[in-house]
Amino acid sequence: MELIKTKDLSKIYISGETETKALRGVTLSIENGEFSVITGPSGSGKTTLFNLIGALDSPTSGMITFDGDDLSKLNRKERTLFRREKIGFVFQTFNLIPVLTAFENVAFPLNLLGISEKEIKKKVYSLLEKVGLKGMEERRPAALSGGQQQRVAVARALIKDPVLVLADEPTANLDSATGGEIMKLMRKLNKEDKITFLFATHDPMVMEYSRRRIKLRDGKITE
Amino acid sequence: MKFLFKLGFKNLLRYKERTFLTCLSLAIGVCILLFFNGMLEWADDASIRNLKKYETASMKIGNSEFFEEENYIPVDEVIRGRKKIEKILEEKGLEYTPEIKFKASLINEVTGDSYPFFGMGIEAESHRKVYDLYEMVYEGSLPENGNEILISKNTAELLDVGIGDYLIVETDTKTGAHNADAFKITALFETPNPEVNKNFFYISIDAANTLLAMGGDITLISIKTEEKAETLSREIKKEIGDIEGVTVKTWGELAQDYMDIREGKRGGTSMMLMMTFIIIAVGIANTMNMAVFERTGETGMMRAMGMTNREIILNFIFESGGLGLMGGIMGLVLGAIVTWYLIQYGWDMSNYVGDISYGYRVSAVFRSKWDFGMMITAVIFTTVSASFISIFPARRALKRSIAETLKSAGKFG
Repeated sequence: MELIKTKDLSKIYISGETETKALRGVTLSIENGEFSVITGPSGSGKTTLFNLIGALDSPTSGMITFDGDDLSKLNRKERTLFRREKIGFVFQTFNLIPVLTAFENVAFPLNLLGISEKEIKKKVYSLLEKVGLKGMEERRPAALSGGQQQRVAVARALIKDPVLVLADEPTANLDSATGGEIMKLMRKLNKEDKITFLFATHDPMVMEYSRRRIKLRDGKITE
Repeated sequence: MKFLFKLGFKNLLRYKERTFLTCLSLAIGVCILLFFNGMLEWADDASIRNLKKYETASMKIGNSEFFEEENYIPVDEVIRGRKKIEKILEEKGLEYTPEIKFKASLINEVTGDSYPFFGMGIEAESHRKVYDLYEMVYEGSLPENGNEILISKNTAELLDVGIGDYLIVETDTKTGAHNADAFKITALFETPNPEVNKNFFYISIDAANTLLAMGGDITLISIKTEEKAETLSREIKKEIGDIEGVTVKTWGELAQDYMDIREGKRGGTSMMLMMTFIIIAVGIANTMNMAVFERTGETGMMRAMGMTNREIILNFIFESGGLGLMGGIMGLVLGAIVTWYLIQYGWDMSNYVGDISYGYRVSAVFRSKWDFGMMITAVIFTTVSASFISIFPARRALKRSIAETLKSAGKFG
């Protein structure tokens, strides 16, 4: 079933008198449960496409639908609530909140959704165990290794049972062994929970794990 | 909401040193506010007390012409219908005392030094019931007869005289004739009212009557009451209404110079609150600007994850409000210590204030007063102001797009 569909999607950034065409008519379809990679050199438009799919930004022209809903028609508040409920993000540098423990970082999206404390406790402990962080719930990010921090970030992205997880260079700050473990973990979660994963990366290892590669160059899909 | 509150509080502990220094600057602002406010409140209370006890009593009855030309002190403007007035006051069960207030020069008969003063002819027995001057007399008592004079310690130092010495009192009589006589210093006084210490001397009412050729007339009747002066003043005015030229002035009307200062003090308190707000604004704005700037990427991440602008702003408000609350409480503690010290030991300002007349009827040893209303206000004010100020940097940060904040922080893409 089709989850994301874009048609002639373009995005132009204007800075003073300079016009930058980041995306030039991207037409793309992503199915539910995919484990795909968007790849391409720097400046190819990966991040821009990610921002539009994740409703962090709106397109200059073209259409983008998510589960049949036209994202370009959502106002700011609606986009925020859409992200809150449906999208999980995994960032390149983990982006954990340093003053919160691993437990609290993972619980963060559930707090935004207004889930009860009891439910949060149950879900967070279970997921932290699933990503291999049992016993580290009360540790703050500074007391965790890079791989452990990224596991927390993955758990945080998955805790609300999102429809889509957007992971930007999730292995960039990890050694290859740890990066491999993180990819295995995400692949396992994709298989078990049927969550759609979309990556933006240069990392060949991430590409190896993916089932589909979407190549971007100069704002256009080339492959 | 609870979660945002908890996050705001945890963020306070992120930069402990910065949090402490910001709180300290707020605490100093609050402490200064409480210090000045406590001292002004004390000065206000003490001034009113000292005015009534040593200068104006609760109110005075006199000829309206006498009050109008108070600087000139026209002793010929005497009280008419004295007996009727005294009967009214007795019927009301009020304590009162007759006075002759006049202008005179005190001259050291040895050196010839001469200074202008206000002389008061008083009736010792009734004066004790209306004023507390007798409690402040040392080495002697109130002048009761003959040519005895009671001067302040200040005046004694100024004229370089002591008990047993003679002073010439030079004045104009009721009929305008010039008159002078020698008076023996039989006692000295020192009240907490510097205006009285600096400007007044006392002789018996009989001696004043002779010196000024008053023919038994008086110029003032001072009244003491525990009731509200304004209400009683209206009642007395009504009852003495048919006595020509006689009127009643409350302590507030008599001490107009002080009432003007009091009015100014209200503006001063607003000014102090404004100054405190500026201290808070500068301290908090700086800290929150840094916090917002340093957490650009983190804020972008939170927004990406679905935190609304309102929640982001609330998060900063809780953090900033927490800073304000902690700073306010620290300031409250510091202010309470300073207030306690001043109440217990006072602050001797005589070296700075000296003989300068600054309107307050208080001695040069400044004290303070517990003003719990202001203490609570200061903490609430600091917390609310701090919360309010954080809105601006937070709103500014939210003007940037999420993609931009994530990109500039190098965290996404």
